[in-house]
Amino acid sequence: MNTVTAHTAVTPTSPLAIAVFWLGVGIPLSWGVWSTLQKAMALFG
Amino acid sequence: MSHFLSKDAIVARPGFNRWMVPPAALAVHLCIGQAYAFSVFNGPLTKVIGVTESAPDDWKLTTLGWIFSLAIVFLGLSAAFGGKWLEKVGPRVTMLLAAACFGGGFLVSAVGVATHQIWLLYLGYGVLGGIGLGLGYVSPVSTLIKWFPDRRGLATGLAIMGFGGGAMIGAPLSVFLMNHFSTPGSVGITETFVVMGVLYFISMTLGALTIRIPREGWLPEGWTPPPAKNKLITRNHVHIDQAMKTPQFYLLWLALCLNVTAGIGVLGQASVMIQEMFRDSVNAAAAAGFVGLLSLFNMGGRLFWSSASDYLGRKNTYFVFFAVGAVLYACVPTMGHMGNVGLFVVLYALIISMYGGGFSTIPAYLADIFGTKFVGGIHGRLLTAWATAGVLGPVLVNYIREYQIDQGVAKGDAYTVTMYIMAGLLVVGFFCNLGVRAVDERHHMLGDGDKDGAARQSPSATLQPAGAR
Repeated sequence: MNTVTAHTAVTPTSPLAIAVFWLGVGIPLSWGVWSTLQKAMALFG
Repeated sequence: MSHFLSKDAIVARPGFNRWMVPPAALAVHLCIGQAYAFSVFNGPLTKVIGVTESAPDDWKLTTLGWIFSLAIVFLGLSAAFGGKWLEKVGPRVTMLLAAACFGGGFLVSAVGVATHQIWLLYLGYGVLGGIGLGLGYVSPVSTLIKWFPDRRGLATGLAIMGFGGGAMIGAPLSVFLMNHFSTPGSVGITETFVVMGVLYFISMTLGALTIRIPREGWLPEGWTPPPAKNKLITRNHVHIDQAMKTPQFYLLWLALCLNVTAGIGVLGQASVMIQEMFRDSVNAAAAAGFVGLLSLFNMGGRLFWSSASDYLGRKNTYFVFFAVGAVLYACVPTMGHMGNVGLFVVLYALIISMYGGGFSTIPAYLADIFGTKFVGGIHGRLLTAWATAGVLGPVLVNYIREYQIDQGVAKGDAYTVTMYIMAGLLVVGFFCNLGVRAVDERHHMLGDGDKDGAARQSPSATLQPAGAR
């Protein structure tokens, strides 16, 4: 009975975990985009 | 294989949120995308001994060029051969091996720089790094497709956008680290390689530990597969080896190869081209800015076009690449003659966005045509088109340009024929895409049933390649 319960129990992923993982990839990517944009501004300077 | 690494260990529990999967894929693709920025090491690598300027014993650029070429060749090979293995062992093992190869490749290269042994760089970044690139590229893509049956294009776009964005992180990070570690007696590459190798290994490993695959029969909450309206979206599955026997595989191989050949050829020449076409108005710094802008469009195009393909359809999206692309390529020389830098930049940016879009849309296209069960392996084999184009594109552009200049054509005008030839390649690609039809039923897996639901209820062990019939 317990085994069945363990297999069917729904454990929703924490929204905090989702946010942390997205920030983990989003911050370095944003830094890279910002650095590239600064470099690209030379074209219009 | 230990349970921790097995496919069973990473089957998501009920309640797992699928939006955890794209960051796991991005953690890998943002690392391996560094490959596009490898050229930032070329200058310093020619001064490892001389430091301020190249010494006679320092490596030449031609010697160093082989490192990147080897990496691309091994990317293609490992994706082609590793893709089938990926379907067997699951994404966690493949991603961990990719992390070990890519991170380890940097460490072996660091030893190569410290001891000034070029073969260690060939082995490190070229062979090991290339294997890491190929395995890392394909491993999360099929998993994402399975998690997002309702938005395949968006899912693959998110991951493959990371490959475009990886260079944007890798380039400034490399420059920052080399500046930090450089001393009057060293260019600081050894330490830079060590730090980058460790960082990339950690990031990719985190991605591998986070990745999950959906359980059999899983569908997004509230979503049911729409009734089959589009014959090009199959609910059956084609085995990897069987896919190689279909004309669709080769048509899509050619479509990708031609799109990439055209894009990669002009991307590599972008800086020189804009300076030579607009000699009076564009200097080296502005040209570097132009290349930066293109990399933004390369990355953005991967997400935009792939997401758009969810609404336009994959075949129509590829029609846009080939039809609009051919017109844009043909217009570039005219913009040069008119001296219109602004329009030139806009055309070029659109071209490069579609070059990136070709990469991110193809896995979803393959999933539509061949089904989702073996899409990782089929995608891996199709990536040999990328390796081929990686050689073909630059050679074609450089050869035609040199030939034109030898014939007395002014440097600024030497790209005209090249761009028309690239436009011609896209016209050929248009017809390849036109020829793509639904896969004949005889190629479908046995035990598939007609619908995904039926397929999911069948244990995968009972599925056999159609050839076994």
